[in-house]
Amino acid sequence: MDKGQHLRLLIKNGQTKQPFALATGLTFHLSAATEDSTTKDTTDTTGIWNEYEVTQRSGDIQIDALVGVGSESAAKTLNDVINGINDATFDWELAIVGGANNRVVSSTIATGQGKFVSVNPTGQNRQNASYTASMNIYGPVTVAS
Amino acid sequence: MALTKIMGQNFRAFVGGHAAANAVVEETNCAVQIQGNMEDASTKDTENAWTTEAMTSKQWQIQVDELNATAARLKAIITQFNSDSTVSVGFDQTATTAGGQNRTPSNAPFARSGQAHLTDVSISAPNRQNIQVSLTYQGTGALS
Repeated sequence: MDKGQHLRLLIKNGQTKQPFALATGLTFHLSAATEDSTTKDTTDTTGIWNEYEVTQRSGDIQIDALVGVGSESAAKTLNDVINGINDATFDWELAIVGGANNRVVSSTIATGQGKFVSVNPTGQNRQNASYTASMNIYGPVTVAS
Repeated sequence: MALTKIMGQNFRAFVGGHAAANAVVEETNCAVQIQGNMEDASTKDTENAWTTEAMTSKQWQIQVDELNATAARLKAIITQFNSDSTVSVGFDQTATTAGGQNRTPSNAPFARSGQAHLTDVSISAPNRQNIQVSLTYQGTGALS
């Protein structure tokens, strides 16, 4: 088993890949819609089981992180996420990481494009200020070779 | 002879074939759902207020949770998700044998398998916790 801190999402910015600073969680989710393809022509040789085909694929990514202050040019921050809530797409990379600050990619899992769709910074008394950034996966997910 | 209960670790999912090598590695949970879709067949001819349920179709799915989150495993999962092809998925009791990691299928009377699409992938990676992978396989055709 691997630990959660060793799986990170990186946002590509030119030639650089930026993880989310102070990240605490990552949820990578893929979903396929299916549709029963049986028709009146389907012979009930094995009963009345539905037969499904995939009709649509989609995905979303959620990042949980703490709110930080100061300059962090090598990583994505809350400010970047707020600025990113628009229709622009970005390139992302899901990777196994290690090394300094768990930011060194050791193995790329998959790549794709996405859009930021929401962020909800929260400042609960006596707790770390945090935010959850939600992204929709835009287009196909490519598995790294 | 009375039934003997089995533990959850001996009720396992198999993906890709019904053999120990196909038991889901580092599985923590599997949940099978077999559902008959009912439709009320009552009509004006029905001489009371009760619904008359008729089963019109059946469907099944298997959800699997696992801690196997190596790079190779995650790549294989996403590759399967991207594919339009189905994969053999089933469940069975597994034998508790030394060194067998609870993976050897027992061909229990309740064991079933069929073809399925991988329709939902959720990879959760919280800091300082195990990466958890949840997969849903939507059966297509018979579960036999």
